[in-house]
Amino acid sequence: MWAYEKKLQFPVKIKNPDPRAARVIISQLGGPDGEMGAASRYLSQRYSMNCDKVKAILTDVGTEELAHAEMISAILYQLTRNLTMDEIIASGFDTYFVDHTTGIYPVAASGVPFDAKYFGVKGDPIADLTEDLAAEQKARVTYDNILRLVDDPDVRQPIKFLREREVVHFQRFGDALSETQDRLDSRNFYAFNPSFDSCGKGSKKRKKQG
Amino acid sequence: MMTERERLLRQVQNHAFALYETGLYLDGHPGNAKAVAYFDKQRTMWQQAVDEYERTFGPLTQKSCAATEGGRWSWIDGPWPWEAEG
Repeated sequence: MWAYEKKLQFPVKIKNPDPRAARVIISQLGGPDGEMGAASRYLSQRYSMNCDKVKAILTDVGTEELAHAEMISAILYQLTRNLTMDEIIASGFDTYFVDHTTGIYPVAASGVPFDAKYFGVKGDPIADLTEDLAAEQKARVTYDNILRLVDDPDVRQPIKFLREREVVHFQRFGDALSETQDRLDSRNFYAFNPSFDSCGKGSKKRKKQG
Repeated sequence: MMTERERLLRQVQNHAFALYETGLYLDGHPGNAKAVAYFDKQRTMWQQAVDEYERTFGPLTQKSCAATEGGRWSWIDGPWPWEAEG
């Protein structure tokens, strides 16, 4: 289970509202490489991992991603406080406002709502961990792009922290992938799913039947 | 200028982060005695920071709620973390 801690992982304290910045940053909540997808990906994939270290890494990174979704939501909340209707219209925030007012709803910057299609669960540790490495890099690039679009240091500080976490998670998933690969039969590397195949026993049975 | 609440909360955040980051590293390297020792050291400092914060500014977790304010459910008291916390 999970328990809530009444604090953010890293402080978010934004003085000036900026609905234009909120329009792009919201992609890291509900977009294709956002934190909601990241948490769902790792917490769903962990059940079919074949090694305890990897189950622990996916559990702990997945839990941290929930805290990152909260940080992004806090950034969005603070960027859209006390807006006038003129500011909402001039910033282009009106297309979000009409559906959600200033509530926090997970969408991509394009307006497309969050979708489970943004992540996969293949049930094969090598396939899933390879996706996770790519996912961390894609999220890192999105944060780089946000840093190209936003000048306010109050916003950049937590975004830089989140960017750094993507780099660290990439390292940890690198550990997880090499741990998994070390346990595989080097002569049968990609022909075998360690979470599903029972070391050749199943295939012998099938041969006899056939 | 940081308020006292922000200063104490920052200490909690710093030690909690050190704990989390070391724990995540240990997931992949559980035999690293140096990292385990660092985790233990940070855990003591984290507990001290949590106790100091909760004494004045209320519970950080539901489980520590009763200990901080006898007879009253102070868990509901704001500010909540997203409301411009320090």
